[in-house]
Amino acid sequence: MTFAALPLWGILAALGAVAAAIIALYLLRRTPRPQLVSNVQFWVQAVQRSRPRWLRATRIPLLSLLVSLCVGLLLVTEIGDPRFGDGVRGTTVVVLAAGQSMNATELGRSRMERALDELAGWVGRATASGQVAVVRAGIRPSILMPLTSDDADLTRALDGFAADEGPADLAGATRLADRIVAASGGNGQILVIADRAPDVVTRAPTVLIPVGAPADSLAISAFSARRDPIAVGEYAVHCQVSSFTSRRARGRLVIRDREITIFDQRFEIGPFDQLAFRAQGFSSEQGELVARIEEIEVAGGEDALATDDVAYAVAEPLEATRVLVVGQEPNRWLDTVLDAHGALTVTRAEPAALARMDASALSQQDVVILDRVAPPASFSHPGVLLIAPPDGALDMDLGGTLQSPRVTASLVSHPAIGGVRLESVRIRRSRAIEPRPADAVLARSGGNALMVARDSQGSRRVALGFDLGSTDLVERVAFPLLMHHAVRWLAGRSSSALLSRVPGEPLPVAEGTTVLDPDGEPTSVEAGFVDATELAGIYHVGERAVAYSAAATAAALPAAAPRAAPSQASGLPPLAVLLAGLLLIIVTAEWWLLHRGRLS
Amino acid sequence: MRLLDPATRRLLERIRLPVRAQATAGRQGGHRSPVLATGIEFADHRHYVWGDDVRRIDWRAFARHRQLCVRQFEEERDARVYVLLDVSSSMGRGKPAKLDVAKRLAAAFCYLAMKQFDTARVVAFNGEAREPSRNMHARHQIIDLERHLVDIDPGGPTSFSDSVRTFVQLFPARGLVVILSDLMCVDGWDEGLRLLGGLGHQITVVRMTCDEDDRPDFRGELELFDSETGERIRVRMGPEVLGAYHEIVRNHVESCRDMTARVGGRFVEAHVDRPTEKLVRDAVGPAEAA
Repeated sequence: MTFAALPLWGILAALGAVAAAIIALYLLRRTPRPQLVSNVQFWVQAVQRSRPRWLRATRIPLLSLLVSLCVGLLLVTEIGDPRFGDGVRGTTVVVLAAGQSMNATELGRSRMERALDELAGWVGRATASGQVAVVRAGIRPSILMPLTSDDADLTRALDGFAADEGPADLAGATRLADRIVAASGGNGQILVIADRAPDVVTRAPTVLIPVGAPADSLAISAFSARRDPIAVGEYAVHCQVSSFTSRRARGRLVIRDREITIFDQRFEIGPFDQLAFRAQGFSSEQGELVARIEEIEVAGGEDALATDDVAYAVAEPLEATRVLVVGQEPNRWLDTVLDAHGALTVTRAEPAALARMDASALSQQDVVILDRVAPPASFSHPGVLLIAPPDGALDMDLGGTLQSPRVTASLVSHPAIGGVRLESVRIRRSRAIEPRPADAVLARSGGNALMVARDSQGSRRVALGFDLGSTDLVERVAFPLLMHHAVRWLAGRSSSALLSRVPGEPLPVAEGTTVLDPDGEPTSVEAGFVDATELAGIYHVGERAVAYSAAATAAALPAAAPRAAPSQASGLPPLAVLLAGLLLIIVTAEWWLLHRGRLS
Repeated sequence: MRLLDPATRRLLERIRLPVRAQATAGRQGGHRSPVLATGIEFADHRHYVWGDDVRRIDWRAFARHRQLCVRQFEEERDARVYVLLDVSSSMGRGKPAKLDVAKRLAAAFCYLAMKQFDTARVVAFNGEAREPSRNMHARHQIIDLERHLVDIDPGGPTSFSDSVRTFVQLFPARGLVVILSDLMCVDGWDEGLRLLGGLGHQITVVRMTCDEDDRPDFRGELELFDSETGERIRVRMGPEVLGAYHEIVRNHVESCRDMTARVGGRFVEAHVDRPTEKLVRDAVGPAEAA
């Protein structure tokens, strides 16, 4: 049993002080006041006549003292919030989950509301015996309330509090809480108020206070948009809806580009199923896309989380790009792709013509594609695509010839290939490229680089070690995409937002750029980054839009198994309730036996 | 210091102090006496006996009845008014003090007596009768009486029976005895009253009361000091004790009232909070026009 987290000597001292105070008050109360009367004999007779008949009545003052002592000690005990089970004295650090799932609503109350109720209760109890800190387990762990002994600080700390629209870093927050406990002397506990248990080992004892029950949810688990390389002004939208429930559900998916609805379709989805939707939009300008699941109906349940029903994406604006293709002979695969690209203006030249071009003529081109030719020594351009380059072309070091190399890995995250996977591409013959340390290997076959991207000293290079005629890549739908992204990257265009950023991910921006958050409020930029990106939505960086969407992190709602807190480890009712009942019985009995017309 | 204010004096001028015939004195005065002798008021006839004054023979009755009859008249005599004033320490209690109010009543009784040419005397008592004033017959002597009363201070314990014994030795003649006391002494009242009644005195007991005596509002743990003896008792005051005290005092007062009635006297309670006029009117009894 614990009492105000005090050591034994503290408890005894507190009870002793209270007992001393009560006895002192009793003695003061028993100290008679002098009173002069006309004749004391009448009072003597009155006292004799009014003397109680029953035996123990003469002990009433003593009994009253004992009852007062009991009442006082019980009151002190009650104030000390005694509890069954083992308690931990010292510092209490509460980890409050503030991820997206805490917005889930169950029976009219959100998990966050339940968590805040728990938090207030625990902070109120813990500040009675020690210091309390609260760590916010949002996308990035942060200290919501520093160590304090005043529970009123919590009210100030929770001003404007809201959960992030991304996954909670519960492990990181718990580790932070562990460091706080260690820094405060190591004597303390960590209380995790969350809907799932933190998967982390701590030195301080960790207690999970679960909030939330298993719940149904529909979510947009993927949402992206990209320009159609072969249709000028069009962009394709891909949206995936996932069911995180064992029940059938239906809804209506609406995709809007600002105020223009480009997709509106009702759907029905089975338990734990996924549906993919594709839509086309037309706009040469930047598309700011919002996908939303509306009118959700879950059979026998309800959609618990609303924030994962919305996703955001941006379709980059259409920008005209001039491309100079230099080759000994026409490359029909390349020409077809470039000609089909609506935003490209293609100029073809032979190597001799390239040698005659001056710098000003070259600078008018955004990208130069060298198809199996080496540029002259004086050639200089910031964006060059080399296809099967000869030895020594533009400082590209080539290795041996590879026969039928199989692409074993591709760097899909690099903007030069923009998510295009090349693993299934067959290549008859290729030269291995010797990458430099700063080069990004876009495709490799074992230890040999087949495709390399280089970004150094203001110039960008993409080199393919194989000829387009010796691969089936050109026959695949991925080839126009690959060329599209490669040309855009080489031309220095902003990366097409194939995948939205995840809330919480820092947003790099140039100094002096005005950044507006999804609510249209200016956001501070520090050291070239915007850190406050916990809100999902579309951020505006100058003229550019950047989408932050939680679709990629959509998942089933966690629900930690309810587990009794240590204070309630006993099956008995809370000790405070028992003591309060005992107190009431004693006070009632005292009144009934001693004060009911017997004593004043 | 004047004990009787003008309003009280105006009241006293309008009323008389009745004295029973048996309590009258020997000098001619204004009260009817049981003695049939010379006087104004015709009382009865009786047969003439040798030695009677022939001037008192009723010759008209002789002519009618052929018997010598003598006319008899009620003799009007004066009265002695003794005011026994309790000056024990307990009379100093109350707001105003019971003794102060009792002094005003004593002055009022004496003034009434002097107004009707009776003999008035104030006898203070506590453990015994002491400091008797001199006889006063005329109303102008009220000033001396007031001076005498003002000089009396409370003190000492009460012993009514001893005081009465001393009193009857000092003043054996019958009269109207007005006892002004708070009766806050457990014993001695029956014996004293019986002794006074047995000597033929007309008795009027005026009990001076105050809230502290009758309805004390004591609470908590108290150490009670006796104002007369200094005796002390520790009491945890509560409703039961207060109730018992009230009952005991009430019984004591009723006992005194019964004894007073038994000896043919009047018993009056005078609360110190009441105006002096009302107290005087109640203490003197049914108004008798002057």
